Amino acid sequence: MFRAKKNYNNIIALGFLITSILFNSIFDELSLNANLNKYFNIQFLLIYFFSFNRFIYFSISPLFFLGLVNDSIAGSPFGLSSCIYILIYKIAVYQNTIKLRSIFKAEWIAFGISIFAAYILIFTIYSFLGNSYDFRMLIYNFVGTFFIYPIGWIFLKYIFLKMETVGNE
Amino acid sequence: MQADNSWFDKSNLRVFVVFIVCFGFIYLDSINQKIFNKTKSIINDVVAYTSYGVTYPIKKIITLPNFIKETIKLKDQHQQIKALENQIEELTEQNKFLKKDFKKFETFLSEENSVKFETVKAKVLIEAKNFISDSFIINKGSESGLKIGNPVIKNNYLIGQITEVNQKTSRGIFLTDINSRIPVLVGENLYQAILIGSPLVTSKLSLEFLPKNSELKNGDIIYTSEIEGVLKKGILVGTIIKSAENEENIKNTYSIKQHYEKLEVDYVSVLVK
Repeated sequence: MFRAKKNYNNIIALGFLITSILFNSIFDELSLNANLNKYFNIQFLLIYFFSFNRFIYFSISPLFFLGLVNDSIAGSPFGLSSCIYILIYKIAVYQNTIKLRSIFKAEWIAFGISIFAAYILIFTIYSFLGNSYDFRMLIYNFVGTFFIYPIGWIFLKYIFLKMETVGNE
Repeated sequence: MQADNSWFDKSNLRVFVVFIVCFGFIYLDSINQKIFNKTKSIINDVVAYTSYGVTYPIKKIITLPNFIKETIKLKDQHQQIKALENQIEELTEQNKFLKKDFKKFETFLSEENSVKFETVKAKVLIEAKNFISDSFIINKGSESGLKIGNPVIKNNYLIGQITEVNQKTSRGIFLTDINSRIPVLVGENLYQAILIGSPLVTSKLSLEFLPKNSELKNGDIIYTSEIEGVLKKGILVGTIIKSAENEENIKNTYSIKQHYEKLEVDYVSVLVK
């Protein structure tokens, strides 16, 4: 089930996620006043893609700790991101095991389902805690993340995974 | 490998336990449990400084063109100021009345100094902007006397408030954060209102609870209203900008201009008393 991958590819994959968490403010500076990172969530995309393709560092423990780091930086309730990361991971792994990977459309819809579950969880926890949030921002972020998946998929599948294949050869 | 094909297997027990731990963390965070808060405070400090250290070189590269532009601009301004100073010197030597005026101005300035707020200068380590929050982390915490609710100032304008204090770092929210609520006074008539962060409005700020008969003019200044022990009265917040074509229509035709550039938020002052 697990594909044999060279370690550095797994490390680079994890590096992408760490970068997307730590470099939040840099992404923000790059997008200037457009605040692009408010309209899509690159972390969800990376976690889903790498979990779906069974990269070894995309497992419960690293995602749990990275979630805590993200909460610490973003100021969200401690444990929320860990919860969401693991939920996306678990759905991605399950979808991988039922051989959904052959068709892109099915993978994309499955991604939509997994992030939909994640946003429902965010909505539920925020409502439960009584924190203020803009419901429209949640929807925009969900739609943005959903529609950016094909772009991310093309980049990761045809550039990153190609590089990986060349590396393994 | 068979375990992979089933939704309920032993591996899911681990996920279940982690979920319980996560929900436990969320619960402890929401009730402000003492020991949990202390641990979280240490984690926050470590993460903030690590993140700052890792992102520092790249941030510097990104902001380099802007820094060069600003330096050139400052050099020009410095030369202009020098030229003005020379002019003032010449004029004061020529005119005694001007000298007297200058003395008056000096006295005025010294009086202004006596009512200055006590501030703590801080460096912004991280700006965290996502779809839920619009916050920043600074390098001063409870050790420097910071408390929750302290106003954060940049170029004499209020930009946010402290919401979480760790030992060596603190988190503040920008005025544009959806959780930001600041009591303000608007315009010459000092209308009372609440300034609220509205992520989907162009200026990302809106005024709520304005009196029904209020009339806002273009250029009206917004000041803070006092909350005893938390917020001082009279801190500048921004100005009202009204669109020209809708000038006659009073309601919902204004936007609020903040007087700082996003990229300028590198150092801030926190009012502690």
